[in-house]
Amino acid sequence: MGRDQVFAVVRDNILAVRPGLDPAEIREDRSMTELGCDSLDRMDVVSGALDEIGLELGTDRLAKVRDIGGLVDVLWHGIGGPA
Amino acid sequence: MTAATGGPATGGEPGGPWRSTEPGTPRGGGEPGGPQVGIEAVAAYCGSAYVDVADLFQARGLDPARMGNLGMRRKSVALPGEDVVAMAATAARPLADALTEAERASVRTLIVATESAFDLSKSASTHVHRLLGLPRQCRLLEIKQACYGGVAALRAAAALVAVEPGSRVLVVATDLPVPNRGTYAEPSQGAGAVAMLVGPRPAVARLELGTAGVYGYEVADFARPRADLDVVDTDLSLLAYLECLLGAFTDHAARRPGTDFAGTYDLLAMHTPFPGMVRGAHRHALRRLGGLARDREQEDFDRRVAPSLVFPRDVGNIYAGTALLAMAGAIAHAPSPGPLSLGVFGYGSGCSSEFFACHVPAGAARLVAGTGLAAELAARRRLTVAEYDAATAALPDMAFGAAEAKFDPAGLAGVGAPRPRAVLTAIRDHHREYTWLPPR
Repeated sequence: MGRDQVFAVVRDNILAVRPGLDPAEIREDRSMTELGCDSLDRMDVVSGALDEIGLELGTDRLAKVRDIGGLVDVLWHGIGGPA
Repeated sequence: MTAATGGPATGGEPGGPWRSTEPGTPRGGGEPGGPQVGIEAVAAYCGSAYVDVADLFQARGLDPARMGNLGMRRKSVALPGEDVVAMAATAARPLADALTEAERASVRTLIVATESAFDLSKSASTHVHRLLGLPRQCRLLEIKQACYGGVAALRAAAALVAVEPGSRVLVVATDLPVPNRGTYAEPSQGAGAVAMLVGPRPAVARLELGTAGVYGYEVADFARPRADLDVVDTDLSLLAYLECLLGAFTDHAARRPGTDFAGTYDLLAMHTPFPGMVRGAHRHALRRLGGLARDREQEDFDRRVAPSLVFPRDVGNIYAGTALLAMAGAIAHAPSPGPLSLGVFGYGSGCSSEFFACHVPAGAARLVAGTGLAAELAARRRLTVAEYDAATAALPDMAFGAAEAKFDPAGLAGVGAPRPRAVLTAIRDHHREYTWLPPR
């Protein structure tokens, strides 16, 4: 799975919790909070993306994530993408 | 909230299989003839006042669209003079009053679990012990590990009862947070205490020994480095909760072959920072641990999990006591009279967690419902947001570090349900003085 595909998984999970969102609004430089996701939505996005990718990731790996691009990076590294 | 103790020595449940799907023979207390240890009686005090969550959302300018995910209706508010000791003693008083002389002498340990203590050395249990007039042949100690504290105290109590046959342990989990004003956490930050008497006649819930699953590691999701400062990473905390639920349950299932998340337990009770979190955690665990089609998740939640949220949604997060309050709610609002199996998950930030099994005998729902907590919650006084802000502004007067203060119990005397309530009257040279307000 390439980085673009990881981004697509994250985007689809964001759309699942915020179905009214314009997909073009979901950019790597934005945070989920800026897109109107509350803490439970964000938890659903992360856990849904982990499920879909089939990844077990320790919580501490996700601690420093601040925007969507950061989440994509952590997930991608988790499946062996370059750091 | 009143409570009943005792019952036959078998706790109304002979220790045999409690439902047809129970795996062969759980280790420890599950086998016939093994030690019976569990909750003999439960009581709670969740304040005499509340603020409506919709009022708070409006006053703070919070987005009402988020109320659905939060799942809260009301939150309890402590009034001046109600510190962690006062609430703990008030919660436990009905349990102490119901003891026979012989039972009172058997209470060999009093554990207070809290993450808002006012002394770094002396445990809050010393004050609660004095207020309840328990015998001096009693261990007094405090347990701290964020919201896991109440479950930690309950498990420690079971161990102490198991090694000292005939003894009892009084566990009280009590907390009083300083609300994080204007945040989405504020509407769920409650106040209150839950007391459980643990002993050899578990009429409310027998605790299965030897099969608890645990999971913990250091993580910076929440810390309270000062009495008035909570350092919170909400996203990290929710993910740590999920990781711990999976980790603790997996450890539990390894010790209890045949156990599965979707089918083994009739009821589930989990630490409830806010009810929406439990909904999300249940869904996540079902998907990760398998065993249930997605179109059945809602029905499973409504049947097995929703009973545990009845009290928390009207009280808020009471931290160390929240998982115990969820347990009480699950038992009181169980869909059938039992006997029932109950799986309990406790989580405390930082972090430590535990998943354990309880066996709820027939009649337990009546015992817990008979404590009158629902009526007491309904009898709380509704505060305006301005009154709530005034009560919150007074919290530092009785917080950690307070050296001198006086409190007028008159404000508390006129509100809430008719029950004896302990109240802090003065702090002199850091020492706290309490009195009992008679039932009004």
